[in-house]
Amino acid sequence: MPERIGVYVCWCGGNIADVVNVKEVAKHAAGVPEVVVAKDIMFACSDEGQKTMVDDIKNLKLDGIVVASCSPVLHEQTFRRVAERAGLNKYLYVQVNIREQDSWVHAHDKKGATEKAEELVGMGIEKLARATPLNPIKVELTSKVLVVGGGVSGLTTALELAREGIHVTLVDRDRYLGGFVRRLPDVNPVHRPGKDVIADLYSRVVSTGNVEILSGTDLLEVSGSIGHFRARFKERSGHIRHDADRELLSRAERECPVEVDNEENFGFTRRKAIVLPDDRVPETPYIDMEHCIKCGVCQRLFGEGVSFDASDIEFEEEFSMVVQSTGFQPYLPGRGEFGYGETRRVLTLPEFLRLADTSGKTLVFNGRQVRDVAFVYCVGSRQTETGGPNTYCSRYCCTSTLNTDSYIKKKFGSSINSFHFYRDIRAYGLYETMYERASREKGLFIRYDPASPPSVTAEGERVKLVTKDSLTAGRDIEVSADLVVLVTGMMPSEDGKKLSAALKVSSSKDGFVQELHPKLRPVETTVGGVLVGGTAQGPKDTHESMISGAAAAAKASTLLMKGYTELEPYVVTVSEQKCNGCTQCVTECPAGAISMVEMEGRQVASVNVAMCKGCGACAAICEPEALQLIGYTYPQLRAMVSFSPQPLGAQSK
Amino acid sequence: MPTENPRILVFAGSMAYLGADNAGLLHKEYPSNSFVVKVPCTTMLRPGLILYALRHGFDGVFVASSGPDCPYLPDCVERTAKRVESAYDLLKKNGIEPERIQLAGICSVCSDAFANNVKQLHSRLKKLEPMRRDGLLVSQ
Repeated sequence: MPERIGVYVCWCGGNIADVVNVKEVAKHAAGVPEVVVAKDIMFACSDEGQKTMVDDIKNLKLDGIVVASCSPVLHEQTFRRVAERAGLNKYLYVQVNIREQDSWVHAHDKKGATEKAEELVGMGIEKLARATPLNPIKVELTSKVLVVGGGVSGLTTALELAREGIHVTLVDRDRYLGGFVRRLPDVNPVHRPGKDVIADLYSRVVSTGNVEILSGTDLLEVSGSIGHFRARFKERSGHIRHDADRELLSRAERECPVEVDNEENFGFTRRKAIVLPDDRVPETPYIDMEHCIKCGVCQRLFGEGVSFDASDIEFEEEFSMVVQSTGFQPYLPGRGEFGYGETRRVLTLPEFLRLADTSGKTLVFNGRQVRDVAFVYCVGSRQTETGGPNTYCSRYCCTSTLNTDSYIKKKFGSSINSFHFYRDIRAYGLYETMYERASREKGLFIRYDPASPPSVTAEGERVKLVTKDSLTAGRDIEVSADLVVLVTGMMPSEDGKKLSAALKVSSSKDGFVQELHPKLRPVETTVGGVLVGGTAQGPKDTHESMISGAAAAAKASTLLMKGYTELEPYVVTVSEQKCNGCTQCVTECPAGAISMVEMEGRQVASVNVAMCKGCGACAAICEPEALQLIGYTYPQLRAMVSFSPQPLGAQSK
Repeated sequence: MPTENPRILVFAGSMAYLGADNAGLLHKEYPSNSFVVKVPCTTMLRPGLILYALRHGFDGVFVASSGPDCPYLPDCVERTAKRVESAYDLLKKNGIEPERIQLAGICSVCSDAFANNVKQLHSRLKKLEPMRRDGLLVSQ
């Protein structure tokens, strides 16, 4: 523990010295027994300032330094390097904030500000006098990343990482990749079918030779910390050879007697029990054993290529980092919400897109041609007034609807009339042109007030919508449509929530993964080594999801290229002697970092330093104070708060 | 006899610390007899530490939690509130006014909130009798 301390009080030009009498502060510090040298410096962060400190540490054999200057946010790293350059452990340095938290807020109280600086420096000395040399926790990182979710974001992350030579395992529960984008008939702004965009990405991913794709695979369990994440998978059998002959497959599909609703298209089409990839990737067929009646038609064609009782394969692997790209799930309206579930003519936007994609040259629903389509915006989003759980705006839905309007008019001709019941249109950036085009293409925009949303009622083969149009003096407007499309927002996916819970990743109040900082650290989560990409983090469009996925890859590769990472040593330590084995800390720890181990015949707490986040929640409730947060130990804090510039008695009147 | 210039200790979580920095950046003035001690997360505060500070020279303690933005704990607010509740009890048991403790969530840009909380506590403490410590009147 430092006994030869150097104190440096920075002028910061006039930023500090104009208010705080820095010479007085240095003089005051010099009176503390452990302080060997105390100086005021014009700019502590300048080359000259740094050299003064390095020289003093070497010449005066200082074993710790206190720098009273700006906020440690600015220069903690600078002064740590100063200590290191002089051969001092970088954690034997304490920064005292006398600018942001003193001179800048007490400009009209110079005496008070000076006294405050003296005391803050005193507290810093007390802290340093109880500090021990520390080393950052070094964790080796192998170049292996697990990407969870094979949507457009996960595929982008996998591609970018693989191109850097990093080995990626991409897992998706779905047998076919591409997530939500796969089912979009027209992706803005490239205006290609989503499955083409996905197939393109997929072939680039495969060509890297660096990505192990586990589609149709469940992620059963994941645990661990940076450098050592363990994941257990279950690869579900497809019951048919992956490389089965195409022509035979088509024949098998024709001859398969089982026909069920095709969930890919929300039941607008039917499929057989043997399922062909049909332009989806990976191009592997499978047999849906839930519906298969084991009639043997396909078995006769493929022989041993079909195996009804092939079992699923479970296996475990270890990874350095995890990228959570678990995407979103569309909001599902409740029964009766804008008529949903009460009349079949009310669909959600994702359902409508499948209907439009699977229709031929005319848009047909239930055997009747569709001419009038009414879109109701903000369903399941911005529910502040209705008391629903989702108070946020899903951002993508306005433009997605505008794009859909344009797509159906392009595909089915301009005989289609569209009615847009909206609250506000959020067509940001270049998307404004889509709004303009939809208006030009005679889309009728009717603005409703959330207090009086459109009523939707079935009327024979049509649906009637009534609302007050707030732009025409609140008069009732009635629209009769063939179909009503509810523009549903994005919600955090259940799979994503489960993964976050397993990894102890924090979520925002909306339930999406919380990034560490919206601007400075946009793809990092609260857990070291876990990154987030795409809509798992919050509503995004395709383009934004890909940017986010690529950013996650860039962030991961900066760490992996170095081969190791350093963690701050501010973790909790246990005094086994003091520990009474009560186990309360195990429950209190939010990171699952504490377990009980046997030591000399009794149970004591043990902290996994790679998992400990350093919050100190456990230490606060430890009755015998056996747990201490390094860098913020209770003896340190007590010494700081009981520091007094003069003996207590002298202060009293 | 009221307390003339109460001495305030601020325990600031990492985001609240940035909030205090932000108050500095914007030159939001508040009483100078206030001292920030940074902690990663206010959930680490032992109730006894608050009592200790009051017994050793401070007239009031402002627990500035990082609020919902806490990078350590999503439920930082609830957990910190629990610590502070125990501290209230501890103070009462020792015959000390619980209003010497102030609790607030301070985000990284909550400059006004930070300054106002210090001011608020400062004026509240002024109205109280000076802290008695082991028979000694410490505050000036």
